[in-house]
Amino acid sequence: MKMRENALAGTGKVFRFSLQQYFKSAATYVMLGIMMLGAAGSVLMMSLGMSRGEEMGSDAKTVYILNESPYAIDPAGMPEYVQAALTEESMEDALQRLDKGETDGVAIRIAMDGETGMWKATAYTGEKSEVTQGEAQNLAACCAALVEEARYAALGVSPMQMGIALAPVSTSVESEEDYRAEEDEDDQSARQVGGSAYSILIFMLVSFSTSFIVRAVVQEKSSKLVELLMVSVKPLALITGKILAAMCLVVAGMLCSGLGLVLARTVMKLLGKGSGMATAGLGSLLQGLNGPGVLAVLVSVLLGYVSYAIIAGISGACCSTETESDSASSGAMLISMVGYMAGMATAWMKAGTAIRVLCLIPFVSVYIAPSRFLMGDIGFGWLALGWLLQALVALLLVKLCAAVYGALMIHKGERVKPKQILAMMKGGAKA
Amino acid sequence: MSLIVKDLTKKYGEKTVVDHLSFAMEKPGVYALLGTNGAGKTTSIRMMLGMLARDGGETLWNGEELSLEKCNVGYLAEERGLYPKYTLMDQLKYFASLRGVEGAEAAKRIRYWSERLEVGEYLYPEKTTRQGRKVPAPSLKADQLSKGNQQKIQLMMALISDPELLILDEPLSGLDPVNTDLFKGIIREEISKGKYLIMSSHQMPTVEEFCTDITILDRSKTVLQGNLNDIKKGYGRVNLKLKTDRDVGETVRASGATILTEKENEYQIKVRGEEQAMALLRELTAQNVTVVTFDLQEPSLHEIFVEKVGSVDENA
Repeated sequence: MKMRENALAGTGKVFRFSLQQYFKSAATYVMLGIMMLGAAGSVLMMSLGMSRGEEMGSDAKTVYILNESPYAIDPAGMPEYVQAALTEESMEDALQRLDKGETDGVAIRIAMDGETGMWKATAYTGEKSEVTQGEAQNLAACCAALVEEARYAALGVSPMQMGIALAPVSTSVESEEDYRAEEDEDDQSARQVGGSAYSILIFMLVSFSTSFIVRAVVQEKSSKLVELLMVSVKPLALITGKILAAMCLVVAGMLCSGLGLVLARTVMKLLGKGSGMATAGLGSLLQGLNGPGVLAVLVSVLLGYVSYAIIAGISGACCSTETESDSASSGAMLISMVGYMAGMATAWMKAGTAIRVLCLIPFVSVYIAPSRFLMGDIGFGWLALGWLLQALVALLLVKLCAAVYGALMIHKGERVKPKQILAMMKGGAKA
Repeated sequence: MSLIVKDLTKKYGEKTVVDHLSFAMEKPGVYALLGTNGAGKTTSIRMMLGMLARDGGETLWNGEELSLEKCNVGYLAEERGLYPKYTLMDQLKYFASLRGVEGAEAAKRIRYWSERLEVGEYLYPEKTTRQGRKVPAPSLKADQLSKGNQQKIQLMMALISDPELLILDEPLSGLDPVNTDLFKGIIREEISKGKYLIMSSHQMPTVEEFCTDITILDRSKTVLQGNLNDIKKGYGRVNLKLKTDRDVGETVRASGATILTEKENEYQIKVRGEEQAMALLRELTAQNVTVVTFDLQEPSLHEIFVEKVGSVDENA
């Protein structure tokens, strides 16, 4: 099965033509648009959902502050989710208003405690109030803090001094076990977000590209142009050009998704909201990217992509009609799913033997090894060994493809079974 | 230049689909590969072009293994198609570039062949602007063309690189008479340019019209091979076309010849040879029969084919 030196001659031309046709199709732009808007939309929805959640964290909407102290307090210092205002009315009037139907209102009275001689902020709610005691207590505490700030300000303390003076010092009692668990929790959370986000990205890359490749190969086969093409270009060049074109298309899709994320962040900034959990999760993964990190991801993704793409190409070539193309993708997708599941299932796991072994398994390693390398869970040696094994598998697939792709493309009739592929491979060796 | 096919063999499991096919083209001309469906013609062509692995044999071009790098091959496959949703111009340019013909040269050749094959209106369509001016429009997509016109585009793809070896698998199948003549004209042109042509066809008159040498395959084996004229001479002049002024059926039968068809004193007769035909003519003259037509010919390729392989597959 010695591969001919010129087996890849013409790859560039096939690649250019395939890519050109992708970008001449309106469907491609629709897909890229959907990917961009989908990414932007999902982040916006998540972010807005979270903001809404924050806003809905309180049942209180209106706070009436009856300030009987001599200190001038600023209601703007109250939490953003309530509308706070100083009121001159009496406590009785305020309570009557709350009883009449302002179920989301709270009245806070700042007055001297006769027993202790200290200023005290007391929160009152109406009879039908939906505001919880805890929430009312929090709002009262906020008011008390404003009184304290006003008191310091009255004494001529600068805002910086005030910040130092009022900085809270909390106390707690914890065991050593609690201390370690807390440290692990942060680490695990970062690992889970990073590992999962990376696995999803790779799964998207593999899913889209295998689907594109299978469809392109089946379309070419059913166009009955194959024999004419094979007079001009070797089968390996034919499939390689397609694989590269599909990769470019998927990368374009990923870039559009990235653009969607940037768009979402910009919109959220303009709206004055947080950037959202999705972008934050992605950010935590990208945080670890540096020169070697980028290289680790690129090499792993390239080796994994080539392997999955060749399987997709061979699967596509086994079909004779376009109706078979859906099931043709299932082979590559099934293997990809195993890698994805392994990536997701182990995202929370710390460095260990299991992770190191998974980082060596071809097809699975692309889902796990680069993110683990970025997080420092595995060293370069393990990563390189994983590359070597994946490269060996990719090379075997390339050899298989070179031997059988041509015969598969001119095969007619029922879908080719693995046994027949092996027979074709033996036949190819005789040529 | 020469093309030598030597002991080409292909097996699928225990079944041999091409059994030691050998032939040679020492000089330019047209070689015909004939055979019923499943005889192994297309498989042989695929093996020659390296598309299909072979179990034995070799194909030599100028003494070296035929490869696409060393020999400029044009191929019109039996199974024809185009990318249905891509424009014709894109497809032609793509195929031209794969054959090393690019840029202005590709454009020039596409223009030439589009005019020669009368498909210019599909490759260089025009649209009318609101101001009533005609401006160039993108070329049509393949699925907007009739089957015959698609076939012309495929022939353009085969010829775009000006190949030295042209392989045409059923080149005229599915064409109307006008386009058949157009294709025949182009084949004649290629022959006159000194090209090596291999033609596979079921249309025996076409093969007779163009081919100098033939191989007839039957169920993977070569059953007849050689120069077409020599083969015919070997059979002798045994086909007699006779037209007289009255019914001479009895006389013909009495001479020992076989009447194949008979219609209004016009006969197609099979004789054993020239002597028997001449004896019949003498007998007719002796009976004062007016002989309008007496045409003694060699057997047609169709007859030779039928004799060798049993019957022509009419579905082909």
